[in-house]
Amino acid sequence: MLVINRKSSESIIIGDNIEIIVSEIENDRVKLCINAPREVSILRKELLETRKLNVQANENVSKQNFTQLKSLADNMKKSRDVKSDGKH
Amino acid sequence: MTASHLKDFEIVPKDVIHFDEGMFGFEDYKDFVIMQEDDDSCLMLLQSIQSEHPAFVVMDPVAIMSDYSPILSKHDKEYFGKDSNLKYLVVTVMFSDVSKTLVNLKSPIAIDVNTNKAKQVFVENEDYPIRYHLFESEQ
Repeated sequence: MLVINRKSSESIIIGDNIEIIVSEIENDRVKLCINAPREVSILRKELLETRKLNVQANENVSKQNFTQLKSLADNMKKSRDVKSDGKH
Repeated sequence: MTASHLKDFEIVPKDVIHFDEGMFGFEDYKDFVIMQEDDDSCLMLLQSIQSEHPAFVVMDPVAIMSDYSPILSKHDKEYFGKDSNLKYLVVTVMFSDVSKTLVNLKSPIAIDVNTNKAKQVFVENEDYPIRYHLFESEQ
């Protein structure tokens, strides 16, 4: 993986026509500006991952899986409830 | 699961919730019903009212993490407004091997119980993973 240090307002160029500008750095946050052709898809990685997970979640829905998971999940919840009751 | 999940489960539609933007990957579906087999179950089915799919198994995150407290982005806070009363559900990915179950804690569904307006959001909490293994033995 290529690692480059950039300061605020500096930028990098990817290929012929994609520019990523570091616009603002504040605490643990970086604001980026991206110049790219309209046909280039730009997504936050977590959005792409959540989309994939949603698709997989929808595909894997089945009554059998649901019933099995429900009893496990409810047991997990119950045992936690019992534990937290004990603390009071 | 095919045909009507409603009949399969013999459960009563509790609430119809509306997503202005749909769920990620399913942007065309705006209205969903939440179905619960019994009142105290933490596992629910979120199904489109337009068709039998998309459907998602969702969970009350508090059952997983008793102190689940998402931090919303400024944008999402404004979206729901000050008077909203938000509850959260997390999308669950099931597998035939139940021990592999994944839960997306990073991107819960926020529901304003006052208006039934819903949105799948990205929370700012850095320690909430996108792929959380529900059963710790898998981690």
